[in-house]
Amino acid sequence: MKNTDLARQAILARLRKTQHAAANPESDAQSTFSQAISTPASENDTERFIELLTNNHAEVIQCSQSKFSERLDEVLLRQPISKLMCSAHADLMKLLDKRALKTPFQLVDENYCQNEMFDNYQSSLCFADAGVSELGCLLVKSSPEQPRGLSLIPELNILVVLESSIYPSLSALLGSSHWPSNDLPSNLVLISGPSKTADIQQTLAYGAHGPKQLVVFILS
Amino acid sequence: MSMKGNFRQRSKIALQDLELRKSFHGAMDFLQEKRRTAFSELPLEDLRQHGADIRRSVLKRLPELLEELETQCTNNGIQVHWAETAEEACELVANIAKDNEVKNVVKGKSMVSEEIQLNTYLASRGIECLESDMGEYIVQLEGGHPSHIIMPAIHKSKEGIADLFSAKLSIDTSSASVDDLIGIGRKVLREKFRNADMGVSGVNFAIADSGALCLVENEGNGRMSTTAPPIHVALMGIEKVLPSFNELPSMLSLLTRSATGQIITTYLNVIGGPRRPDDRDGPDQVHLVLIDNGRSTMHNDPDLQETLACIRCGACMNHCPVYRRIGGHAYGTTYPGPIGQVVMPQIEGMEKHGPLLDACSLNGACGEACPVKIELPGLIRRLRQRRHIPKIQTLIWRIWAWTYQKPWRHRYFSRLIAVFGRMPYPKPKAWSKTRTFPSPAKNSFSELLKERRNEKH
Repeated sequence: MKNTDLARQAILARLRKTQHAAANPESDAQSTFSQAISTPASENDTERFIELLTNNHAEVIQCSQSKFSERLDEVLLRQPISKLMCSAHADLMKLLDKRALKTPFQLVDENYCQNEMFDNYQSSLCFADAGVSELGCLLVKSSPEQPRGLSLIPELNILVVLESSIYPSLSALLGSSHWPSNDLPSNLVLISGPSKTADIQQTLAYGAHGPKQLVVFILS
Repeated sequence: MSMKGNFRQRSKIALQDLELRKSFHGAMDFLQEKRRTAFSELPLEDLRQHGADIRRSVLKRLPELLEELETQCTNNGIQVHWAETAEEACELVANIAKDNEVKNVVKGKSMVSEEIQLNTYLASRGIECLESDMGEYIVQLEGGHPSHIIMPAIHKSKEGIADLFSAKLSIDTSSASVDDLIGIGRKVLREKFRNADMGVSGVNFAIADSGALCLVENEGNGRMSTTAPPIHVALMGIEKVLPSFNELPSMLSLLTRSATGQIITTYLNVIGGPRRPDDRDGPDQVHLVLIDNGRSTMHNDPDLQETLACIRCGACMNHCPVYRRIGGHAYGTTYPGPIGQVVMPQIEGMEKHGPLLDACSLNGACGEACPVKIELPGLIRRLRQRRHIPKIQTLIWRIWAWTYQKPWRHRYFSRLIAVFGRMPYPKPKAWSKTRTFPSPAKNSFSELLKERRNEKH
């Protein structure tokens, strides 16, 4: 502990030396930058959102909220053997008709176990609070109902987002109520596709360490 | 490639390695094209200026931003440590490991961890530190060194990697495709993630007003390393801070497009702290180690301070004609290419890394590619001026200056060159092997001009 305090003092002292030496020391002004520069919002943001996700090898399914459970089941039944871990996110629980699912699934509860996810679950279903069309990404927040590993460990990850929660730019998302400005969770992630790498001969391969497949449901 | 010898020797070897040169030509063309395409839809110059303004402003307010970051991180349950030197940083990490009986560590990609040589330090303390980024894993398995800061195994072919996996992992890779090889890496590393005692990562941007750590990646190994093990240690150079999330969209855009030509990486991982009491996963402890290692000294130097604006995207080396020809290993340093030429002499001394500054034609491509407008050619020139200049070089320049100070001396010297330069004499082999050595003209320009003026009258 002692060493780190001494280091802290020494480092800050040296950094402050620069400020005192500077001809015109910057005052403690707020950032005077103009809004972040981004691509102009296209007429149909959802189209761009879908295009970017698809280019990144995600499968995108648009449907109404009422058809969601049925379409979800179709996706799950395509998989060879799939045990599904389902997030218990409150908004997802309102959308999901659990009785309609033919695939066996488990809701996140107090028995949730990371090792179980590695060993026994091939797919997961999570709720994305928002999307960003300029970047083709989805905001997934961790919580007791939606652990971090859910969108990371299984081979197939399914994300659900409401079309009305898709923002044109990251700046727009940051200024919205969907961004947890005052209550940052212990982890959140912006996801734009299945995991990938081009580390071998710059050749793209999917399923590096995270999910190999990403399916995104956009619900109207 | 072996890291033995000095920079000149390694460069010579690299230049003769046609396979290596072919790999790098292909890779650099690929990365340059990806960057060009990625920026084609944006007002690039405006964005670069915006990024440059953000980074310069951060450097001006660095001490306050770091204090704010520390306060907010601490409020979020992140334990913040400070380290002046590489050794101190390694010791801090080793002590955290020791206090928690850590035997094995998984590491996400972190340039600063390579800068401080963390793996070697932990190994000497009996702690296994495994690289989990696919490229870094391959390089580590081989016992080699990364040759590029974004694509560490850029120098290796698919066949080379298949042979490596076969030899080290005892797996038949005779007809393995790239997908198969990645699948092997995935399987091996999953076991490591779930059983690791500690995860180490870098930080791309730390958000001061929120106490959040932002990491970008495509593979998911960063998320694995910072989620699966019970302890997460994040290492960060002190310059990697942003005031708030408002600066993130522009900086993110510049970073991902410059590094790999992506609009955004697969994951932007934002860490707000260790697991909360009711969370069901996540590490119990998150530590942030703020590393100086020469950065505060750079900060004090007005001529060199902008070195710290760097966001470690790799664009400069992707555009550098020297790097393209000799690859990353020839530099023998953590950071190769133009940014390496600027940073390494400042971190580890001019005596050790001064020769790197010779490997530059001052073509300016790096400065033009830099997303935050670091004047790299200017920094290289300034550092060259600080090098010890051999006496013979000073003498030659003095003679030249003396000769050219007076018109009559200049004319006489030009006459000498005109007469003797046209005679056969031994020419530098390196030049004359592929070029015709130019012949000086019979008469100098001023003589011709004088002649013409005389003719007119």
